[in-house]
Amino acid sequence: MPDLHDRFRGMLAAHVADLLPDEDAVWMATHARECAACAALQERIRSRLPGLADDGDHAPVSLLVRWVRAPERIPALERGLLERHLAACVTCREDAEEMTRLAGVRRMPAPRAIFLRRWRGPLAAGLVAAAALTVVFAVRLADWARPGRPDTKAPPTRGEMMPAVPESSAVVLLDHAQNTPLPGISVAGANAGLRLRVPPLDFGTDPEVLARILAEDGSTVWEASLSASALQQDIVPAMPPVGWSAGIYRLRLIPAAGRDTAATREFVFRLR
Amino acid sequence: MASTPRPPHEDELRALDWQALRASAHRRLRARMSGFSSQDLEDAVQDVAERMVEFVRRRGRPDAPEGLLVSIVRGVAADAIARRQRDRTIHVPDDGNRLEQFAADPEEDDVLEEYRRIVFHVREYFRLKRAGCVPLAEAKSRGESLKTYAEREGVSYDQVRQAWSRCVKLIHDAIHRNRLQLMWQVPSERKPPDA
Repeated sequence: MPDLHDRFRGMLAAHVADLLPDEDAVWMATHARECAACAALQERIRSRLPGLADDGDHAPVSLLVRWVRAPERIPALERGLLERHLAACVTCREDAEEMTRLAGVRRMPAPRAIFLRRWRGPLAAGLVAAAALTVVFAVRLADWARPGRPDTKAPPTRGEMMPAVPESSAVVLLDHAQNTPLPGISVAGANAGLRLRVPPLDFGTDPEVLARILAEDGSTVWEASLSASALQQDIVPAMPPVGWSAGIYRLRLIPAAGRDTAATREFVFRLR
Repeated sequence: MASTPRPPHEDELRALDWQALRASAHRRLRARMSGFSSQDLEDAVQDVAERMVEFVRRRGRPDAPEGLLVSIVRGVAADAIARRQRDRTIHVPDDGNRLEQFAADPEEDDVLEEYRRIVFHVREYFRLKRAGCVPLAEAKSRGESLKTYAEREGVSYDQVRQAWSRCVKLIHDAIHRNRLQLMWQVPSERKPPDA
């Protein structure tokens, strides 16, 4: 059974952060009244908290160290949160690169998307997209002017409220949690067909992945079975008969040829 | 004739690649200290090296020297920027209360680093899930207490406490559902710090 002082010290960080359940917080306060050494430690920690203001926005160094040296030891969601932060924070990303160089690690760990497991709630679908590092997630329109292509001005068949994608289309990756575009997404192309690029993903041993694009109303716009290696290149979904309509779409990648739905990766993008 | 005892950790100090460390410190400081002269940068690099020597002499070679280096770079750059701001603001004298970056008691540093990790995950989780909790989580990341936050925002402390309590419930739910694993580690599960 752990020593009372050890227990106090083990929960101290969470206690100072006001995150402990009430009963634990009460125990901490009681112990601090009875143990001068623990109370003094708590006081010293509290006195140093204002010093965090300088780099409180940045990822803790110990977390970066772990990410550089043993990323597999970081639980999936926490790793996703860190990578999401790295996508937006140039300073932290450069810190990690420098640490990678110094540590003699061959290269920075491959960034992964946040692993989407059964998120609930209306905003859930967009969460996973935010995890990708900016440099490895690009959604763009590429030229698709080719003989016999459909007229983009034609009215959409699904949802009269959705205007057709205009000539100078733009694709923006959405972070649904904050409803703001992610920084650093490159957008290019006019008169273009849809091309999607996803970050390197680990699909385990089964190389076949079911890729599906869903419209805002949940209807499937496109579906194909792809090899995991094909996902390392641009995904070029076939053009719907009337062209791409403006709106929010989800790209869903389901491993094991669509059987392993628990390991589905989902990316959200917007055409406008 | 008795020889002078060798200072502890001296061999570990010599084993570090100081050229690489200094070059690395220079790159990271240059990125953080834009607008500073090259002399200021050189001084800062020297400062980093000295703090690193001091750390190793006191505690030995860290498991991850690159982590220690980045920690020290962050501290040195923050000090330099704060110094410059003080120099430019005539009415704000140096309060002289700047704390040492590393405590005499390593456990104190461990707890503080654990605090950083916890509040970082909490803040990023809220950024993803509950935008309303983000300002409070950001205040926690800056080391602010709820009371200080309430004073700064001009709202009642009770109001802030209730709001934070609702946010914390989300974290507890996420932990109970195994979505988040940032359990404050009980002693038997504590692992040695990485840096």
